[in-house]
Amino acid sequence: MINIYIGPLILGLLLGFVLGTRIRDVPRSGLKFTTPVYLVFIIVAFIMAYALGPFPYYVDVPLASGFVAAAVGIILGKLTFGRGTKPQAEN
Amino acid sequence: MSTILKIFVFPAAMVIMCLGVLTILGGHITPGGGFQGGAMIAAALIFCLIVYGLKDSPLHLSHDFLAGVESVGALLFVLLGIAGLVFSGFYLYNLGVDIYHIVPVAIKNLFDYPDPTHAGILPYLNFAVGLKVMVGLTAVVISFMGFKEYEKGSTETNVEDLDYEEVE
Amino acid sequence: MSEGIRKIIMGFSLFIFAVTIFESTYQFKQMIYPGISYIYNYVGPKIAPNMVTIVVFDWRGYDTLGEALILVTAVIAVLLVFGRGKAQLGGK
Repeated sequence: MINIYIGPLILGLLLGFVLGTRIRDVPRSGLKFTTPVYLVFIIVAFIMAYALGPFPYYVDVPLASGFVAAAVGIILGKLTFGRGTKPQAEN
Repeated sequence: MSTILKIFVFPAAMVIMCLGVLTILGGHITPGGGFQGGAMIAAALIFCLIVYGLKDSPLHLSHDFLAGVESVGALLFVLLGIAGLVFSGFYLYNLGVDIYHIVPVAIKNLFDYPDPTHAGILPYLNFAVGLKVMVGLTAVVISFMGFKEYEKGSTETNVEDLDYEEVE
Repeated sequence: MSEGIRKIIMGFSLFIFAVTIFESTYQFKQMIYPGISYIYNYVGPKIAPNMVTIVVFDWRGYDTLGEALILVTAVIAVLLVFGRGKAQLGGK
């Protein structure tokens, strides 16, 4: 098992998490983004990371680790802090 | 906006945000860095704002979030400089790559970036600048689209609805 | 001043300016001493592969701090002007 570099993983998870907490569902507009949408997004993220290739001088995994970490971070942020309905009074 | 756009934009905005994060993280190897990656993430957020409108956008940034993240980004930059001032004699000294060898090895390993390049504090500075730029650009666009609509709860914006207090 | 005199003076000053600029850039390459560039090219590849990021964030990191604070100030100024509301400042 070769050494996985944790620097891009941790920073990518942090940035994705900050962005993922802002996703909310708006039931009024008629569009529903349910769970299959996010599953397809993760699969597309893995395919894109494999096509992009790793950074130069990175020899651990043959895909772009920062991209996958950001996608996972967005999903995690939505699951923990995502809001369900549109809030009425924002400040 | 047409229905095809509304179906397509939200997944595309998430992919553009992930590309922006990739540009920020590779600031010390590939072209790009904090400013450029932050502008890409802001482009994704503004894309969602334009297509869905300010009230129905699935990526909703409140006032507290904008103020907080921008302050955290700027403060992180300044505090990294002060850490360089405390442990060595220089402001914004690169504590991970110690080219003058004046810092003990424990602190050098603490601030190093775990990476084949061992670039020191450069990726953390890129991270702070990226946070700042993405929130700043989006805040300007939101304020041009009408910030007060957040607090009204009404579906359309009438200029008469904005209440101005009377000046005595 | 009449039109002719003005044209003569303008032409003369333009001629002097052009001669000065061309004389200062003639054989400019031999006059440059790449002193700092030797230090950049020796120290830079030891830190990270991207020389532009090294110069912007490490050698001239103080200027990047000023740039970041300019962005914060510009956003605050725009939000104050276009906030579309009145602030309650207290007082009577």
